[in-house]
Amino acid sequence: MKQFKYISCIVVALFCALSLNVQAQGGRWILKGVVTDSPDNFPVMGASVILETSNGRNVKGVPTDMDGNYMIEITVNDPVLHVKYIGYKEQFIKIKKGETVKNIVLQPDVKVLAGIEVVEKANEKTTDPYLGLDKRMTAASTTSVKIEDIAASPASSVTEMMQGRASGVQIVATSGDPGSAYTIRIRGNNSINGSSDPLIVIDGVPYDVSLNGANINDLTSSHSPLQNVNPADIATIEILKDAASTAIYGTKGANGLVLITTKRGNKNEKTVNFNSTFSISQAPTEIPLLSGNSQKTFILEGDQHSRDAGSTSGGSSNMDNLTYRQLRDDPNRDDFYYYNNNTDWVDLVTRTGYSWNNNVSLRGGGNTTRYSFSTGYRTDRGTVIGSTYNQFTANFNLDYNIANNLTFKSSIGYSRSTSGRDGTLGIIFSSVGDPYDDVNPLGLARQYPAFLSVYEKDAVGNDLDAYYIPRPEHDNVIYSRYYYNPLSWTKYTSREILNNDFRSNVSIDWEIFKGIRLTSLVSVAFSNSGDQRFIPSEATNRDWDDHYVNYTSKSNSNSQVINQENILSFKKTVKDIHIITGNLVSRIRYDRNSSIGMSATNTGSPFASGVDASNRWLSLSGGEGHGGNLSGIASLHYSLLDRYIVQTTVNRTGSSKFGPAQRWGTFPTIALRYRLSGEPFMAFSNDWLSELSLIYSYGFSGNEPRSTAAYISRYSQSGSYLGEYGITANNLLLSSLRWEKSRTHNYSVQLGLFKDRITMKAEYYDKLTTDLLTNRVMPSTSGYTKRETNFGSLSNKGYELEFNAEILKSKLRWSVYGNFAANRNKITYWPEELIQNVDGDITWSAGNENTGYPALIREGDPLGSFYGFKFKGVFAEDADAVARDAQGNVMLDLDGTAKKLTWNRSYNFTGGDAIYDDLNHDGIISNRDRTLIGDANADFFGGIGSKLSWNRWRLDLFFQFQVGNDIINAARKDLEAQNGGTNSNVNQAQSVMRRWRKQGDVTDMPRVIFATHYNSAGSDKYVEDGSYLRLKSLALTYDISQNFCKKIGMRNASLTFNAYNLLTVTNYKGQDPEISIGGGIGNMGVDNSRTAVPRSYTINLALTF
Amino acid sequence: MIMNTIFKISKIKLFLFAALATGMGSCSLLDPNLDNEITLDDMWKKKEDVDKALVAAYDQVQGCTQRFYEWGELGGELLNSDQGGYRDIFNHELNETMSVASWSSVYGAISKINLVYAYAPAAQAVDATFKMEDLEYLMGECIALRSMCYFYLARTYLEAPYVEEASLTDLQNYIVPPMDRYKLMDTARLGLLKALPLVRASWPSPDNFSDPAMRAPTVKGRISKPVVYALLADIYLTMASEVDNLNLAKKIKINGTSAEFYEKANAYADSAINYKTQYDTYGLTSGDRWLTNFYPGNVNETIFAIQYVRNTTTSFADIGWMWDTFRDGGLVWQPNVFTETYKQWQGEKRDQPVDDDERGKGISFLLSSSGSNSTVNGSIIWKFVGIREDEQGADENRRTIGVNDAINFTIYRVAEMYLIKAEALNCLDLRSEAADALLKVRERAVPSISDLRTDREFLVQSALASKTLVEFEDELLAERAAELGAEGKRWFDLVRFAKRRMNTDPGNAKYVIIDRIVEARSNQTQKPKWEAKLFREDSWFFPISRTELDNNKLLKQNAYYSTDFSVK
Repeated sequence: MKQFKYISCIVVALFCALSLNVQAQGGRWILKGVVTDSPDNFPVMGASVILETSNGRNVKGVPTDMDGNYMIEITVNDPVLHVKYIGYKEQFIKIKKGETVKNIVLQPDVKVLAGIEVVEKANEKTTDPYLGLDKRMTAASTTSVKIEDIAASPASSVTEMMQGRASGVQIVATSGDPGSAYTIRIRGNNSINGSSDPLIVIDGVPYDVSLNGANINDLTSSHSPLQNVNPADIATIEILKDAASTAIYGTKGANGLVLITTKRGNKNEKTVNFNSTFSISQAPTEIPLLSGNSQKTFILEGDQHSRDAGSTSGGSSNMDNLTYRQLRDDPNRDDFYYYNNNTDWVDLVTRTGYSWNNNVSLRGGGNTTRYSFSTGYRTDRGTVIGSTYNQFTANFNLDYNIANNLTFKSSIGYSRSTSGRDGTLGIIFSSVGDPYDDVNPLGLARQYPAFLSVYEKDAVGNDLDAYYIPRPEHDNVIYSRYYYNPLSWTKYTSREILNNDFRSNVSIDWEIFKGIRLTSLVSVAFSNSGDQRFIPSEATNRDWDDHYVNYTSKSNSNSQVINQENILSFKKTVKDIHIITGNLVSRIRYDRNSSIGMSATNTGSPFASGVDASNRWLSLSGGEGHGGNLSGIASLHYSLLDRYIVQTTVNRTGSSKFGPAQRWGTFPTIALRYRLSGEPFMAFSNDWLSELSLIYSYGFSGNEPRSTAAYISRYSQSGSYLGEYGITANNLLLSSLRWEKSRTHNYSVQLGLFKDRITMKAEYYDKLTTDLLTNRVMPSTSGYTKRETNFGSLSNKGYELEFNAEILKSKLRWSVYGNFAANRNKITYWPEELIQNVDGDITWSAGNENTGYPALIREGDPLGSFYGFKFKGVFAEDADAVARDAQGNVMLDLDGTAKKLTWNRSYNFTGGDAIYDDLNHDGIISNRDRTLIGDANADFFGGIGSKLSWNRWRLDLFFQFQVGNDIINAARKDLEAQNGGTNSNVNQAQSVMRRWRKQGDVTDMPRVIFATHYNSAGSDKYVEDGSYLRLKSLALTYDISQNFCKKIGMRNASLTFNAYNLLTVTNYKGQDPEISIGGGIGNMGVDNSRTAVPRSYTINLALTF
Repeated sequence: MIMNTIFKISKIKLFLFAALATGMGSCSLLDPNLDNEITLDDMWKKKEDVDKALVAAYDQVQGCTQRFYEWGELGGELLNSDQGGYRDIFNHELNETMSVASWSSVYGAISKINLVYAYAPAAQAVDATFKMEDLEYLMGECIALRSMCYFYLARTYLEAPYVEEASLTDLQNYIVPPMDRYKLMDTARLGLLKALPLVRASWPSPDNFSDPAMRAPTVKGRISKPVVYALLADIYLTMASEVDNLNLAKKIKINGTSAEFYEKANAYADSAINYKTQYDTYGLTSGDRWLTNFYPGNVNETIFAIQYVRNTTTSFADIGWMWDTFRDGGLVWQPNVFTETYKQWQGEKRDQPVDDDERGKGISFLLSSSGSNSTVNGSIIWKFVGIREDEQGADENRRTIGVNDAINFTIYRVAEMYLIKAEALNCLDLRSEAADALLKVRERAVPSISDLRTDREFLVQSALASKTLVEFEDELLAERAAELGAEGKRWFDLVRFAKRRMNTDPGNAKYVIIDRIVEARSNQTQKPKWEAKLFREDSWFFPISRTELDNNKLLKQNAYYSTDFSVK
């Protein structure tokens, strides 16, 4: 209390001092007036009238009222009135001493249309704080996403906004669930084991994407830093692609860099924006599934085939004729009503989604202080029940000029999100062992038997008020009891992922002498994520003494990144001929993350979901990682006569992830630009050629391993014997682990025509990554199966093209813009004998050899290639299933009969089985018959958009496309497997209706036979072309008349209708061809029944006060 | 003016701060201090570190037992299964992609042992409480355990790399050339001889361990002197069957003749049988308590058993793979094997052919298949399932999860030492002594010695002693099946006997294996198929896993598997 008094006293004293100071300045009087516009003499409401001193210092400001009146107290000597309003030219009016009335007439600004500022391209500044160059001066490869192009999009995240908008940047949603992250690849995949994710820098705070999600894989879906920035706050998005442009950011930018700045306060203008968006979303059309009746027939047929095949098909051989009695339509059975339904499970677990997003911002400031405050809240309900997303964001930026040569800047951002993912908890498979496995409710619903009932039934088959979960006495042959009713599963189980993200950045910029500046900045980012799951007993109907009744788990991870930089820069201009700019940068980066997780079962009640309510824990886990980087960077930029430009940077970085001998890496770059259009001999073209530059850059960058102090040999608890715990080494001491290195050549041509009404940029790049960080398989005689090492090389070459054309510039304005990129990825060095299976088969685990798709790396093939069998149809008759040599002749067995074609020597193919190409003609379909069958990389991709405006109407169209990529349709593989599935009798797609049923049938769909894998092995049957063209956004905006706005106290208002993902043209048979390309080798381009990106319809209201 | 001065000062301070911040932390930042992790720098400082590392090695050996079992047992004729992986081994339908062909778990154990062996002296040097004597025990234990692993590998593969260097850094060469199986076995033998003077005489039993019927798990579950004796006896016996041939062929030079090796086998088996310390004596369990060898186990007869102890600190026990496999009938006795195995007992009571053997019905096996997962004909291997002798095999007499679920994996029992003695002595033509040794095992299996003995030929010493070498061998094979059947030994036995017969009767030697398998499957029509499969001696050994071949180009696939052999 006492302290409060003291503080109050100080505050009061300060105010007194200030007012005394002001009074000491001399005379004060009131100035009044009316602000009107030029041709119509209409009063202008909400115009800013600002009092400034003669040297430009802002004192205070007032807005005009509804009739354009203002009133302001003049408190300074030699006052200047600064009047501005959007759409009009700014005016500076000197006020004579004692003048009391000043009416002001504003002149319209021709550069402004419908409230949208047109950026003057020639003077576009990069957001690069290091050299502070104009775009036309830089020789590096950068692309900016034009915020005005995407302002009308209802995108939920920055990444979604960027999709298709920047050339050479491929952005793919990992899932259509709200709050899901996107995979970003800038010019292809550059690394195998290191990260291929670009570095994200938000307001000077660098995030390392791979680090943040490192410990808890489940959270990566909503943990991306880009998810935590409100799209409404973005001022600029810049994408840096080549080594020359990223070098200054250090090695972390080896995979490219996304540089985001949030909006800052503008001088002398106070605006309040309110923006509200409501949208409704729908999932695309589903793969059609069998009805309950068809599935019953299917199962009985499969059972028959399995029994005919004898004991080789495993457990089904001893089934008697009475198996599947429930499916034999016997109404006398007690369980008749449970097994005679036609349930559309997918329909039950999906719904129409919606989202509502509201943002408010306040921006303004004067000469010394500028501020921007914004806050947003969005709530999302996904198209799959149980998926929700809520996010709160706040952003505060403050700039303060301490003195003419000293500026202080700060940014603070906070985001909090909760994602609901009910039903994505794994299903419990067995009574002992792994308690859960991640599941996808949609995938479960697709596979769940359609003949089963949703609800419990009474004696005459009416639904009761309880979900039906197969009981032990029912389930054995019908369906594994550990796969539960998808609807009740999603309703009862709960999962919530919580994210808190905080970032702050403080910098001081001091101009020591003219042309020499020192900038020092510190940025800190903290984030925290939690994942909480609960499976109550209602969801499982398990016995009370069961190990997994009321299963609960909770995990939490924290990460922190601290970055400190000092930049000493200088600029020297000699007679406007030579301009030399340079800087020295020192950077320290420290990051730390930790996680803890625990799971438990048997909480006291199905309402007690906390880990603390349990008396039986299952597992505890945790980890901590930290690392640091130290960089010294020097760069120099020299421009001669504005047309010969050289830019060079040397970056030397040390990383704590490497051992002392390999710690430091040096990465030089050089870039040249020749502005041909500036040459005197090009004078003839001055009328129409505004810019023609040839640019070349060359340079190196590096990449580090993901794990903390990767080189250190770690020990950990390993097993136990005789009641004691053991400790052993986890990994070798990696003394020779070193930087992964990329070298890039970048060639580009920049063209501007007709005063830059048409701009084009074409680029070719050639990037070679050597010393790839990879987990190389070791002979097991070493005691290890793999070790992290540098091995192999990988190249990415490609073309990029972007253009922007303002075709009509009259009252009807029309501009077209677009980008196009083609990237070719290839493993250039990987000796044949080291083909490696990186992580085993992707879809099926070991034990079922040859049934999934192996994740291989093979020289000459792109990273992300698919390998598997060549599917050639179905054997029409038993006699066809024989081994043939290379000439197509039937091979004979030792006894002279035709040799049967076998599956890995363990099964003889018969009629109705899949035909795989026996590539080595040994009569055995085995591992050695697998070959290249597809490639997840697109041949080319990009986007094209059109902006049309007339009067107050605007129509924006944006198409996004991707051509030539393949997808493993694993969802379809499951739905056409016809083997009962990994579980028991999963439902199948309607396409299995054309399956082989009897000798002589000619079809492409094999027969149904349970507990086998040879008919659904990983083959090109499930590899599909994933090309698509998508009308990403169709937006119609109406700007409400300013006159009307003025009347209701606003400056601007607009209403936008947007149809998002309205139309997709594709041949892909799955639900949606936008399939994640992240997740590492073997997971690229695999469609595992994840939620498709929905189609949505949006209405947006934007108000400015 | 004053303000300006203040600004100047703060600017200088700012600059100093920035400069300081840059210089600061440059060293510690790049040398991360992993406080909460054990790194190489933290490890190998105390005796406890070494002890724990050895525990990890034993844990890994635990992880090898399934392979040991599959390699040593399933190629033989005794068992049956409908589970794909096991069935392929019975049918000798092996290929290089099968998990059973993988030796990685065994090398995992070897590598953990090598690590202890390499670093233990360093820890001893810095830890004053780490006595030299304790270091010697540890080193001996390491060598013996590693030799045991190589002995298994040498009986399974034609060749395998020999690694005794610890894997420490990525600068070492891990592409190690393979060593011939016989050389590998010899190296293991020499290792055991080196370990013998070092290892502990016996592991002390805890003071509070007072169950008179049982020994403490440490006494039986870790390497001590009698274990090394047993290993030596077995390795000498195995090598003896081939040493003369090899020396003759001058392929590999081994110091010794088969006669010397048989003598050694006999002597070491004796040493194991007669071993005695304050904590333990070794001897046969009485016949009526035969099942106690398996439940609860760790009796006087046990020499070495990999222990699966229920871990009381967590909810779920480390019960091992054997629990699931045997309890639910994943592996059962081949139906025809009983008449073969116990045919010697047929006599007056033909209707109850096996009741006279304590190891017979209700103890070794149950006649009816009653495993919940089993769909094949055969009998439950009751020795791994039951807790009490009971003909019905009632569920209350089965082991139950959470109460008595652990099944130790027995490597050696005293009974086998007697059979090793008998086998060695038979080969030395000391048939009378051989008969004595064999009878030790047989006699204790008969419930009451009384009148049964006198009129049973198989229990008459003179009758056995008058058999020929080959007849006696058949007698031994039958006895090994009855006593040690399903314990992970059968295939190794068949190979050893067949290899030995190569010396005396090369034409029929392979039929030691083929005949038994054909007879057990009671399908004479398949004899040509089995002849085709097993006629090449290469086929008696497992293929090297494809992964290993890919990762170590110095390895050569066993020729039997590298050619396409696809007779169905």
